[in-house]
Amino acid sequence: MAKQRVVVVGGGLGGLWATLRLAEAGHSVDLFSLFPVKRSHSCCAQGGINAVLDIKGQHDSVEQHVTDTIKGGDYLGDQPPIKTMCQDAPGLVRTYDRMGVTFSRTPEGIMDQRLFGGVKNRRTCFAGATTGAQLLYGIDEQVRAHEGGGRVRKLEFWEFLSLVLDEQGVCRGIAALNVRTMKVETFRADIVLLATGGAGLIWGRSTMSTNCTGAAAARAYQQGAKFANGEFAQFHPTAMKGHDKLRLMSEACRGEGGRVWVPRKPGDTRLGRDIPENERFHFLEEWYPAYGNTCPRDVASRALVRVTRHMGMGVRGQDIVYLDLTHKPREFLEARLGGILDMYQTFAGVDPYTNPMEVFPSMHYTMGGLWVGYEKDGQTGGMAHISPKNHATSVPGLYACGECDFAYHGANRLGANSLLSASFSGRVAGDAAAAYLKNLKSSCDKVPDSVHDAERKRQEEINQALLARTGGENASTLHHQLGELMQQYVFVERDNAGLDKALAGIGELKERAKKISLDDKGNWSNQSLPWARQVQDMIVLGEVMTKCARLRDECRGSHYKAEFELKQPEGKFAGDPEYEAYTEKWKANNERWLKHSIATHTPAGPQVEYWPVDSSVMPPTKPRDYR
Amino acid sequence: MVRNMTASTTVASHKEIHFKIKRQDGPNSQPYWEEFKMPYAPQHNVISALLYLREHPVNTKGQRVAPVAWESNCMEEVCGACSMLVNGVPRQACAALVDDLAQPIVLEPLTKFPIIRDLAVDRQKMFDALIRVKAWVPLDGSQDVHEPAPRISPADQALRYAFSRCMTCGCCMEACPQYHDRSDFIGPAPLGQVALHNSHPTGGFFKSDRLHALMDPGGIAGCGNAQNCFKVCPKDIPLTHAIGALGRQTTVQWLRDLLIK
Amino acid sequence: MTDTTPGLLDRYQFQLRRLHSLSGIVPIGFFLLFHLLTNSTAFLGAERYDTHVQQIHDLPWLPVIELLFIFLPIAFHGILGVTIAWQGKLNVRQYPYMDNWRYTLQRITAWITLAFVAIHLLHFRFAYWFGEPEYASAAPRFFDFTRQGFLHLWLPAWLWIWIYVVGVAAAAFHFSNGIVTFCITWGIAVGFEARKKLSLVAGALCIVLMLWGFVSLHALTTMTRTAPGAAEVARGNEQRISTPYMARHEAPSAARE
Ligand SMILES: Cc1cc2nc3c(=O)[nH]c(=O)nc-3n(C[C@H](O)[C@H](O)[C@H](O)COP(=O)(O)OP(=O)(O)OC[C@H]3O[C@@H](n4cnc5c(N)ncnc54)[C@H](O)[C@@H]3O)c2cc1C
Ligand code: HEM
Ligand code: HEM
Ligand code: SF4
Ligand code: F3S
Ligand code: FES
Repeated sequence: MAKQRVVVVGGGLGGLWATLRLAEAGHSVDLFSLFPVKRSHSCCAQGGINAVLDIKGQHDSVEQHVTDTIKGGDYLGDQPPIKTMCQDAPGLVRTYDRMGVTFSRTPEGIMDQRLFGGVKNRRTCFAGATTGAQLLYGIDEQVRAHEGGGRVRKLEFWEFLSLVLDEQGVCRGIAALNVRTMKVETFRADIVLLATGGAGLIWGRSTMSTNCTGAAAARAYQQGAKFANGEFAQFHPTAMKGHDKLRLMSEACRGEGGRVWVPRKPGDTRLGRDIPENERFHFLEEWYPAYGNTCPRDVASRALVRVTRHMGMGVRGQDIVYLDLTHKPREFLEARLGGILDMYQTFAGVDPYTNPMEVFPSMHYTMGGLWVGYEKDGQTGGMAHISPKNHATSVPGLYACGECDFAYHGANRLGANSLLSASFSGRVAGDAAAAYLKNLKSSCDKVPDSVHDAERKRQEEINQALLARTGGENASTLHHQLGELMQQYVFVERDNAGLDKALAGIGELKERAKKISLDDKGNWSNQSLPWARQVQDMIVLGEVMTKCARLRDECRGSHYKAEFELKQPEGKFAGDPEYEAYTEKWKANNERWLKHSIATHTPAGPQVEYWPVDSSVMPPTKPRDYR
Repeated sequence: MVRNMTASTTVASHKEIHFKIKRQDGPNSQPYWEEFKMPYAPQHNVISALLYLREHPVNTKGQRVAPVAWESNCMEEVCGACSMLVNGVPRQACAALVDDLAQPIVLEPLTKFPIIRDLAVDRQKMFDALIRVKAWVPLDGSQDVHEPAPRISPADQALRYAFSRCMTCGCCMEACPQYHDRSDFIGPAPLGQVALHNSHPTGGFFKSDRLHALMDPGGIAGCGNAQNCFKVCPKDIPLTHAIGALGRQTTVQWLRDLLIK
Repeated sequence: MTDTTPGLLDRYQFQLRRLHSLSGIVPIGFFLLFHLLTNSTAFLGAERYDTHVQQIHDLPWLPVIELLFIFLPIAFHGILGVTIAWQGKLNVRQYPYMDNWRYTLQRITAWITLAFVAIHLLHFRFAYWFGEPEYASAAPRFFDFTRQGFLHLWLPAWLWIWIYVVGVAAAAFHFSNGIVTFCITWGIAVGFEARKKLSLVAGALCIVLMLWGFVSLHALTTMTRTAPGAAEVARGNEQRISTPYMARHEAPSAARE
């Protein structure tokens, strides 16, 4: 049999794990990335990675992690993969530890754990406040070892443009753009794995890196891959303001004791640090006494929007609340959160050790993504560890993992669960890809050249057309306008009238995008060209997300429409007839809406259908309640 | 620390932000200077300003020109992509706040790496060096072996953490007078990584391999103890500490090679 | 510069660099200390100086010792030092940090020391190549011979004095700072604290060495014999003692001194 080829696109945690597994299985991998993989967005993650080690005497258990994850995601996640992910988390973290990741330690020299949102146990392993970077470097080094050994070939500064599909619609390679020479080439592969990360840039600004456009996923989607749960985007409650990026102040701030508050007196003009304790409104602690400042992100974000926009109590009347750590000792903060507090100091020019930080919710994570399947293990009720079905997209031969897939987090992701899911899914997808290759009869070498030539030509023509065009529209301007639409209408709170406006606006943008012309017509390291293409693809994906949001008439996790809210009876708990009536309504709603929304690309726009959720591990019997 | 060096004047009163940018169309073209002005807004950093200029690429002569090319990603000084000379100092442009910089803000590409275009350079040799020195902990596969790494004291962790934050940005290489096209010196950044991995209980299994790589031509010998590397490092990585520690380790290794081999 | 000895430099870069570093301390550094010590005995009087120098000249195998422990090491250190100094692209203007200044000065003083040692050796040790008397021939009156060398050989005295002031200062700095870099290179000073302390010690040493050298220089150029030595008394009038340079350069009147 001819030598098998593998293409992995994306070198964040997901892509690197997949690459490592495939290399260990003896395959040669071509690893594509927009820039050196070490610079992937995963390095921004701060807070930590969840795994039940139960070292804090809290009797933490894997079952509890599963429960928290499922509930955190408002039951929308397929449960067998969640179960297996939580079971494997300790092993995964141990492996990172063996890689030399500099996890913070207890005095006894074992991995320390901190508290994160949406849970009651200390379950989050961390490396100072730069956990993502440390994990990324750990796995990057392992892949580098294989690069040195010749198993892995890195194609950095190459942008994935499209899939090469054969007559049967099977994925047989990719077309990619060398962003320095501006040459398009196609690469043969028996299997293609996308790990291209999230899509925060669709909101214009987010906590994500500026390269998190989602364009790669959008391209696969436009070539037939199904996109699931697009309406579910996480808005992180505590981010800084900024022109370019809304820099995250990690949930770890709250996990380590940070308190969120606003002045009790609206429009109070005093500096935050001068406002006495009794004039501070700690609204999260008052509204959600059980979880307080560490309630899940969707809940916290809505509370922040409520207190600022509905109650008019934002700091200085603006969209700002305080995140306060000043009551904590400096040494403690330096050791635990130094990295991000320095960042706050750098970018805000204010010392967060002595001043409460000014924050507001920001687009942060895309729960939705390329639909991927899994094989259920009949015996354990979890996901089969190795199966070619795991993480396979709806396009044969195409796999997806990391933030660009839709699995594990349902309607809302728990903090510190995505470094876990990106790593775990990468590992599983790598194993799945190896399994797929084992069963594969035909070889990508047999695919006629014409198939590849045609795709290359198609891509070259798109580029030529863009370079030649003089329509006068500017890609960055369109991007801003897309961002404004999404920020205004597809944010923490949504309503159908607004979503309709957003869809109309996006429709206009789609038309205008056809008139984008470039300021740079050169053919060497022309950054305007790929950017213009990314913007077009962002508009396409933005439409999917908005459409799915428009169609889902309920509140679930991060998706909130006041009109359809099932109000929790205040002060009433399980057992109370009023609460039971509410539970019944909630169940009825689940009958209709506890479904994945699945978008398929058509020339007329996304076609949305609803697929069932596998709730076999923990059937939804009780509504989420974080009071 | 470097930061304050450039913060000579506060420019909050400016109505405009004035850039002077050293441009170069390709690896073999002649460099030239181009100036840009854009409206002032508080809290801009150099990259956010470049993003603005990407949308409005009009120079001070009023010509619409090709937007400046540069690299960036994280926008919060963790990915290492956006290193360039900002007013003569190598640093992360995304963390260079316009309000802290004297104007005109002069942007130049790093000088120690081949130029791709404008402010973008090719730092591949830094990554190649990491392969050369085997900057990883050897694993017998990434499967769970039901055991974590050996215990590491919080103090050792603290030192290792300091080294592990290196983002391969290249600022230290830029500032090192011993690292340039006439010398084969490996440069400070990979040295920090060797110190990091040698200090790990199992990473140390490769210690002598790494040290031998450093004792080969183009290894550690090129360092002349200028110690600029540590001063410009945006992550405050104690590179000079690494160099001292590796000095000791290579001494021991050398003696061992001479006596025992 | 590398093209003079490319293969060797490349193959044994690490080892050579270490030996270069070591040679700066042992034997060259030790020699320097010893040499300054010997010179400074002039301060205690011409007789003491003569005695000490005589002791050295009386050493058995002196030429071999000189060759093995002084000339070869200096040649090795100097030649390699030049190739190393050639390698650095000085950038202290752009990075005006203290340590970078020291790095830069280490190079500058290397060049100065190189020039100084060359001049210095011609001045005293190898002046006979130019038809001057050999230093050894001055025995036992080394002091006067040295003094005359400063005052009456080739250059005006003030210029000699300046050359020596600069040379001694350069050598003192180069050696003191070299101790610090030696300790880093060999891994003796690893942490910041160790380095900081060492730098302070080295700074003090540098000042001490400079002053020490200046004092000797002062003694050798200005002091005269306080009392005639026993040997002179035996032979008669101090004035009769022939000073070789004076003899060649029409001995000036005693009043000029
Ligand atoms: C500020 C911030 C903090 C976070 N903190 C935490 C935390 O504390 N805990 C936690 O669990 N999660 C956290 N997350 C989430 C987590 O970091 C991400 O979900 C995760 O890192 C995603 O990894 P990934 O491998 O999917 O993608 P990424 O790391 O985003 O990597 C994407 C890769 O794809 C490549 N790529 C993209 N498009 C293309 C293309 N067209 N062609 C070629 N290559 C392409 C890129 O080059 C890159 O290598 C945080 C996220 C943010 C924004
Ligand atoms: C105060 C300043 C100095 C004085 C007065 C001085 C004097 C002398 C004299 C008189 C000699 C000849 C000795 C002999 O042949 O027996 C000599 C030799 C020498 N000096 Fe100096 N010296 C001074 C500083 C230095 C310095 C700073 C260096 C170098 C770093 C140096 C290096 C040498 C060397 C290498 C020799 C030859 C050694 C030998 O022949 O064994 N000197 N010096
Ligand atoms: C003759 C001319 C000389 C030249 C050209 C020269 C050159 C150099 C150079 C370039 C270095 C720096 C090496 C590096 O940091 O990589 C150096 C270091 C050193 N030199 Fe010299 N030097 C000379 C004379 C001397 C003398 C006379 C002494 C002793 C008194 C000396 C002692 C040292 C020491 C101790 C070091 C430090 C070694 C280290 O950094 O590891 N040098 N020399
Ligand atoms: S050591 Fe510091 S300056 Fe050098 S590459 Fe790493 S982070 Fe950048
Ligand atoms: S600046 Fe260069 S010379 Fe050595 S101490 Fe740092 S690597
Ligand atoms: S953009 Fe990542 S360091 Fe500046």
